[in-house]
Amino acid sequence: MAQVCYGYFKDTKLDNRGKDKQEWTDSPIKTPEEYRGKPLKALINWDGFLVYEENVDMLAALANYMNEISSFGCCGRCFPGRVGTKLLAEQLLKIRSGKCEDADISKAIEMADSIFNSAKCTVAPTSTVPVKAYLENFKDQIASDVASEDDQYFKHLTAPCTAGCPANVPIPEFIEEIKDHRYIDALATIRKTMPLPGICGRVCPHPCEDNCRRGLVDEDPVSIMVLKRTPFDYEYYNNKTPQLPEKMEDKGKKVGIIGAGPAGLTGAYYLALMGYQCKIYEMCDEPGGMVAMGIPDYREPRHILRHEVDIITSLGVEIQYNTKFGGPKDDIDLAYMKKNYDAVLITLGAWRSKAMGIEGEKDGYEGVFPGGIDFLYEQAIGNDVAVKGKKVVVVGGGNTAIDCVRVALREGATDVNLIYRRSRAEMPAEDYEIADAIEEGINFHFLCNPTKVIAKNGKVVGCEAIRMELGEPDDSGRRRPQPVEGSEFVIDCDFIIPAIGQDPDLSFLKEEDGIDVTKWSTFKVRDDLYDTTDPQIFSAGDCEWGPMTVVKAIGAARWSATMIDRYLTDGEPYLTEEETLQRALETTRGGIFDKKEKVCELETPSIHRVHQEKMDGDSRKDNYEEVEKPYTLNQAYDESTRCLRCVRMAMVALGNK
Amino acid sequence: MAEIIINNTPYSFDEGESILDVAERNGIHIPTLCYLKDVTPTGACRLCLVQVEGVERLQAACAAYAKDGMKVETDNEHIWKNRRDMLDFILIKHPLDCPVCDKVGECELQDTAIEFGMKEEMVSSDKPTEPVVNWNKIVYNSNLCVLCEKCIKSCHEMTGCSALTMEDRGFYNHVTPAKGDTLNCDFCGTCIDRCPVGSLLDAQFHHSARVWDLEEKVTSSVFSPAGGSVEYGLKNGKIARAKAIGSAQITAQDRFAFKYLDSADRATQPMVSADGNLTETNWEEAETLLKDKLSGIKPDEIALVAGSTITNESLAAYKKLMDGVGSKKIVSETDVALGHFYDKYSAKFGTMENIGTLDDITNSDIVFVIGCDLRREAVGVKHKVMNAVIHNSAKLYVAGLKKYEYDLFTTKTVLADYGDFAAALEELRKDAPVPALQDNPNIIDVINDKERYVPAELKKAKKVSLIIGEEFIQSGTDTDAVLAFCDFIGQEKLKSLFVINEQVNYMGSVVNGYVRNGYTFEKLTQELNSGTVKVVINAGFNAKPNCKIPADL
Ligand SMILES: Cc1cc2nc3c(=O)[nH]c(=O)nc-3n(C[C@H](O)[C@H](O)[C@H](O)COP(=O)(O)OP(=O)(O)OC[C@H]3O[C@@H](n4cnc5c(N)ncnc54)[C@H](O)[C@@H]3O)c2cc1C
Ligand code: SF4
Ligand code: SF4
Ligand code: SF4
Ligand code: SF4
Ligand code: FES
Repeated sequence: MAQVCYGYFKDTKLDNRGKDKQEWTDSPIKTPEEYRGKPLKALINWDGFLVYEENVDMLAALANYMNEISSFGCCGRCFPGRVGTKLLAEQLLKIRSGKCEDADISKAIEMADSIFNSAKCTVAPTSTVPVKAYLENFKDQIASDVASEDDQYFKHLTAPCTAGCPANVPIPEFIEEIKDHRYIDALATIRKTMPLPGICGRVCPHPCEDNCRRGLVDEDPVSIMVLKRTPFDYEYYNNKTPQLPEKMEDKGKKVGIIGAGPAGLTGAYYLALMGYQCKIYEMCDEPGGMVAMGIPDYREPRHILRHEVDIITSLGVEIQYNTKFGGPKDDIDLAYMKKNYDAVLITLGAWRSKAMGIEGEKDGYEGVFPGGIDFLYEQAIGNDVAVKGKKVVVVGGGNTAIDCVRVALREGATDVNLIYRRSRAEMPAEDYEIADAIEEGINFHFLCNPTKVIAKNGKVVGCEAIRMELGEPDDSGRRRPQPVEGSEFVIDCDFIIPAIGQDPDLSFLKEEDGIDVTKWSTFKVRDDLYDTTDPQIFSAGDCEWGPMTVVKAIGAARWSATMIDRYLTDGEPYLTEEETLQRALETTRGGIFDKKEKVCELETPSIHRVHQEKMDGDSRKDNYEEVEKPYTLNQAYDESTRCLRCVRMAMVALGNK
Repeated sequence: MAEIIINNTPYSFDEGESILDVAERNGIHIPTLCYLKDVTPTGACRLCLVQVEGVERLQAACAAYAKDGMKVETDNEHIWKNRRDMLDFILIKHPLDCPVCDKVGECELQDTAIEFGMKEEMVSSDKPTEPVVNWNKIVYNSNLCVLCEKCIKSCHEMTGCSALTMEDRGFYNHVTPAKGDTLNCDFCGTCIDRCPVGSLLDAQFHHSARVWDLEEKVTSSVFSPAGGSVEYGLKNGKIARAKAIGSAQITAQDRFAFKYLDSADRATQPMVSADGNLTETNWEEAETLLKDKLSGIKPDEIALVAGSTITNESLAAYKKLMDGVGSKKIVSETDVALGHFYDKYSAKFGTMENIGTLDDITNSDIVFVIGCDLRREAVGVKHKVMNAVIHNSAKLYVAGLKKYEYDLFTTKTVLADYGDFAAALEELRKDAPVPALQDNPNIIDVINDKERYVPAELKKAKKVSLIIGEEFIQSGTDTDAVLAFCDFIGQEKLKSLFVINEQVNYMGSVVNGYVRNGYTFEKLTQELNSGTVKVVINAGFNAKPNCKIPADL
């Protein structure tokens, strides 16, 4: 961990000049001391600046920062951001040139103030923070700043929402394009890091919105997810031909991919764009992975998913269906892949249901499903799940459980129950989904746990459960549920569907394959590099991280595509200086999004969050029509005006060793 | 009622209004440079900064919504200091080329600097020296550009062409053609009219005159069948440039094709034709000559064909002439081309006129454009169509001979191959095909998605507009096809119906009751052939485009 010599960060002055290096302060940004072997000398961002070595030419670094802000960080769409920052950079260079007078410094501070007061968004204003902090707090340093020994500068542009999005979608940029009524451009911006905006615009749990600064102004963050589907819906419903970036020249190398879920599709999309021949092997007869076979059509209409996959295959990506990867009994195995492909990306998801471990579960009674995903899969491929007119109990509190009860209802079950061992507040499923399910008529039994399958003549007739109460918080910070003794009760039912979790089925791996697996039955890969213990094999998505989200799978798969490219061109995967900086910022708590920041005093009040049209409970509960409708263009415009455009630029100065 | 307090006085406002809207409506002056009423606000110049109570940073009045109870100041020292700084930022990097700039005299930047009382720059700095570029009919000088984006936004949101875009970031961004290195757009010049400085100029006018030497003349456009005016700038009695007036637009022909008005061949005096030669004469002689020719001819033997471009005043004069000779046989040249169309149209709608107003188009949920090249046939109507899409989320369906420049904004364009509009309209009416048998009945195919077809949209729509253009009429498609389409839309939804034709003032002659009084073109042809009519007075009628007229004429 790097130590700070002097600096200014989040309203605090740090000054260890003259002290022993051991006494220097820990860096508030968790950064390594070296970036690709180059020593870190200083870090500048919107919160201030940090100097990691006594002799750093800070004025040069700050002038460079300002110059980069004015030519790259700022969009250039307001006068203070476009010209003011340029003039301020020129002023800093003038100060550095030696003949520095107090009036020059005050002039620079005055310029910084007027940029701060007047700019359209917060990019230029926050960029003046380190400059002012330096000029006001370290005036004495100005004269002693030494001539630069050709330091190198690397910059990274981000935003709180972008950093919170596992796929790093350039959110403020595409929202701005929506505001400009440039939907096709907005879609191109989104596709830079997210090839499945139609899916993510519909089903994403939108962690970006938890990192949205608008939420610090008026409680409701910008509706980023719905805005994201808007340009996609525009392209789709307005019959526009998708405009994808040009493919790079064919690199003459092949990448084989296992699984056509979000991760596999994403890997294929970016690798194809980079000029690799990609082929996906998929065990099902249609693409989409859990999005097709798990997420029901009323949330993600299958034809829209297929349309989006067609867009990806239009790049020349081949998908071979009905082909299972695994051991000798399966269609293809590791040896086959390694022999035929220069690199292999495994993205086979988490398709093995976890058992509840209760009495009677494994006794082969008719009416016990092995798991929620198995139930959803049967429905998704068009089989009759035979719950019509029946009573159903689903166990679990996540997305899968909610989807199971709502599908059971749509398949004609008359009495549908969900059992969850904690209370509603702790449920991992999105709260609006719980509300939706309740509106449709699902019975929720919170603070209950199943204890026994009750069967008669080999058929399920009921589920015994016990009431729970919340005790002390556990590792996850949630209060641990404990059974209330003697509170057992029975729910009459014909079907029990345990939907308590999945893990990847990696049972086909053998010791001699040389591929390490974690204790959660996922592929072991190096952080940010995505290579397994076999350098030719990469893995991303649910089979690498464990069951997560579509956007997480997409983000990881895009990184893995970059790493595969580096492996195939440079011999090994690595992070660039800029990516090292990005990861340092993203992994520091409060590094990019600071919940404690007082935004409300700075920014304008605006209209309230705009909600899309939605089918009501009665009209949706017996069919698979998409429940949530697209924004109208006016709604999208109104919502986009709520965005504060919190683009931020950070920069590091690195030594030349 | 929601109220906003500006400079200690409360004002009521409607939801969605900006602080600037409310201020302007109440006569409170706030300076602006990048604000343009017809497009979404850019918020670039920051000259409209105001102070909102409880908010630390200043706000742009053009982009900030008015809110209930909001307290705003528009005129204090802090505000003015920052506004001046903003202008200063621009001026520091703006070349001092006023003496040689075409815009001097009507430059908003210059005017604002004077209004702000700014003379000297805060600091000195290098000025940009990018080369001036020529994009066909438009000259762009990026050095002068203040990046207000009025050109880009008006081209995108008002014309739908989206021919301009912003390239690069930060200090180095500049306006550039969206496709390729030069413009191949409509050349409507909407962008030129919006540019506040001398950055975008009409290449034809460039360096040809100083604006204060121009005499301004407003006249109606001869290129705009749907009505519209042009402002000509005259230098020594000759047209030097053409501009749109206020927030209107003009066509490329209006702007660039005015030279014919200076043609030496233009008739300025009455002329007599004898032995194939034309000789000038004066009005008295012409009148005597006419009386002479008509003497001895019975009133019933005289007919008049009125051209469609003549004004209501001339029409009235011709009517008087015909009343004088005692003949009621007046037809309009337009009846040749459009008579049948209008016979059926009026039979259906009980009027020959358009239904609804231009604003009805703006408020529509769906707009159909059938065989109409709006930029050429009706720029004014096009503006309303674009408004409907941009400001009212309208769906825009087009049946045309090609994809038009605003295709980016259409929901669906159907091509009328070989001018077969009947087939194109049929295509528009289509509903999603019945799904093929699937294992899972819940899965629909992409092509079966009803939401991608007109019927589903029509079901949701409350207000629909239909525009029928010259391309449709000229195609010879049976009028019934489009009338049946009106039935498909449904009378209760079809709130406006516009027929655009090139026959500029046909409606003038119809509405005033000069033509279509029972005497038709067929009758005239018959009577000419049978010799019943011996004299035909040609009133501004150009036989060429309506060449179905018998050779006897
Ligand atoms: C019911 C349910 C609801 C969910 N809801 C949401 C939600 O609302 N929002 C959200 O973001 N996430 C949701 N998720 C999670 C999300 O679907 C997954 O995180 C995401 O699909 C993971 O993508 P992936 O590509 O890593 O794996 P998967 O989507 O699982 O794709 C793996 C692919 O590999 C194939 N495959 C597996 N094994 C083999 C093999 N041996 N050989 C060949 N092919 C193989 C599979 O058929 C599949 O196509 C939900 C998951 C479930 C189960
Ligand atoms: S990023 Fe913001 S501050 Fe910078 S130029 Fe653009 S609008 Fe202005
Ligand atoms: S306000 Fe806009 S830019 Fe800022 S965090 Fe929210 S979505 Fe991102
Ligand atoms: S002339 Fe018209 S179409 Fe061409 S760039 Fe200007 S506004 Fe756009
Ligand atoms: S060319 Fe003119 S209208 Fe366009 S951005 Fe520059 S100054 Fe504004
Ligand atoms: S007029 Fe409001 S920012 Fe330019």
